[in-house]
Amino acid sequence: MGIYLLKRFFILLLTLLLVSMAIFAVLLVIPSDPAQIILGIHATPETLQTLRSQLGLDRPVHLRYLSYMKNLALGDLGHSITYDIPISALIFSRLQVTIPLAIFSMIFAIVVSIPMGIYSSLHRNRMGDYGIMIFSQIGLAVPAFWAGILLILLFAVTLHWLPAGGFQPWQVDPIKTFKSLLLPALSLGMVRAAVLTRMTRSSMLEVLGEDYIRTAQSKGLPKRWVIYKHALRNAIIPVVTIVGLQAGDLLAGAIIIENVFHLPGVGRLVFEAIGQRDLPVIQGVVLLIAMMIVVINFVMDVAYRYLDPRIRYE
Amino acid sequence: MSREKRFSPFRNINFTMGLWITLAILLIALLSLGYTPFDPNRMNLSMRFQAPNSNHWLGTDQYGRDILSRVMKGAVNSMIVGVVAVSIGMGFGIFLGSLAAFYKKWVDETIMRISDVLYGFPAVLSAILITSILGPGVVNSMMAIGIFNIPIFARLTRATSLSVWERDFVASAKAIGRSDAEIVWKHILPNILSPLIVQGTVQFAIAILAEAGLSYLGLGTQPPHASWGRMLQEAQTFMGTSPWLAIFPGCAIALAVLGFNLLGDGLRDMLDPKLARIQQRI
Repeated sequence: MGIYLLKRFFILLLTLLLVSMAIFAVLLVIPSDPAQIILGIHATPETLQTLRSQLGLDRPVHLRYLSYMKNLALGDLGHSITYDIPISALIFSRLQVTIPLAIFSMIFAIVVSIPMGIYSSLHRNRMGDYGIMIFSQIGLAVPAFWAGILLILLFAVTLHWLPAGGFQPWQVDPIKTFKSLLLPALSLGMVRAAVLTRMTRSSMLEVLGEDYIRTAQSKGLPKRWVIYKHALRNAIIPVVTIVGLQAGDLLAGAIIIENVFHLPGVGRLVFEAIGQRDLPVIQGVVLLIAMMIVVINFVMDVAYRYLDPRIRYE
Repeated sequence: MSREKRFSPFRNINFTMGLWITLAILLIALLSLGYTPFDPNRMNLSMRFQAPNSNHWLGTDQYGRDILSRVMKGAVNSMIVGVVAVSIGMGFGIFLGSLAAFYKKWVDETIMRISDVLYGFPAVLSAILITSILGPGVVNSMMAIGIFNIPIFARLTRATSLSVWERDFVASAKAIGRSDAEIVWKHILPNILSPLIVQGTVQFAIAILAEAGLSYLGLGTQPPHASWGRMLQEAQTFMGTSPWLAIFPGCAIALAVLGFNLLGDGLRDMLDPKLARIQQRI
């Protein structure tokens, strides 16, 4: 176990290093000059050159990368050109929107999908099963941002139950904040719910056909006990992995959803930064999302092996 | 004497439904190349915000443009993006995956590690990053989605062709002096085509979704050209008074994605008998 963890951790570090290099390299190609953005189009060549030197843009690429990594290790992601504040502070303030959004949508997806997947597997090839499978196919086909627009149309424009967009800080009015995150979380969670329902159903069907389930049934154990104690405990393992993989997609999906609902989250920040050519912010946000995805995958991989003792630590 | 059941792909409901839906969308896309009820880009301010009626079946938008004609033109856009993005992904992915499976060792390790990094990156994020570098536009969005597809096909090609390289007929081909490139082309690729086709249909659906998302953000197809995602973005401002603007382009996206997803599911059931048997058992 120890060696396996060490090996996985080494791969994690290597992946993070590759990701940081890839993002740094990709953003070097962007046709924009941070000095020009800061000083505007009327800046003289001399002032532009001076600022480029101050920002270190005239240094060789490898030195810029090394100093970027050194600052990164100290938690310094640089300064935003547009907002003129440290990027880490900027991202941190935006995370109070994105993290609850991702958590709410994942909770919604899990709460809806696991009972539906179990029901569907226990009523295979019956009306309920067909209904749930049709729902999941539709859930996979509907883009989250269109679901968001339809939800706004129904709950905000027609029924006036929930706000169509915007966000208030948690400290001001937590109930209002919760309400403003409800529709975005539903639209983001719907697609995840469809995937998890299919996964739970197929995983349950596979486990229900195993010998030990038949043994448990023949021992006369109550049906509920067999389903929840024996079948679900084993069927849930691959579902946990998918939940982990979905976490990365959730963060990326938030970019579009935050734009639909005008939420000032990390997704909207990166989108605005692209428009403003705020290179350090793009670099910081993309690196953060990538790091989160890599770390979540690592945790899920370890959790998967912990949950399923049949998997060897090679 | 019992009559043996004849194989018919149309017994598979997923395949049949998926095929009909995708064929319908393809036909609409082809039809719109020569005919649309109205010019999809022609503005007619006297006909703004018309609700669906006998003249404009799906209504008109804020510039008086016919929604049905724009939805039809949007189908062409989505199909082209799907074809180009999947072709880029398949072309480069198969090439890199084959290299990894053939050379193994450090070539395999390098290609797979780079694939892992790219694979871990969500499609939308990669596409946004790439279009932000290359600039917005339909060509760049196709390239961005295509680049995201490369590691998917590279991993699949490598995984499926590794076992084919160990088969006897490959050893025989080597023994009679066939070149490596010839073996890959004539023996390896035909044997790994089924999973690649299935993955191709799935990626086609994902490409349609990704293009719609990029166009919604203003990074994909640019105005005045019709794109389902762009239409939804424009509709959002007026959906309180003209909800049809937000309904029909979304239905078109959902239907197209549903069609390709069902087709992919159906093809997988038919082309992967092992998986089909498992599914029959459960």
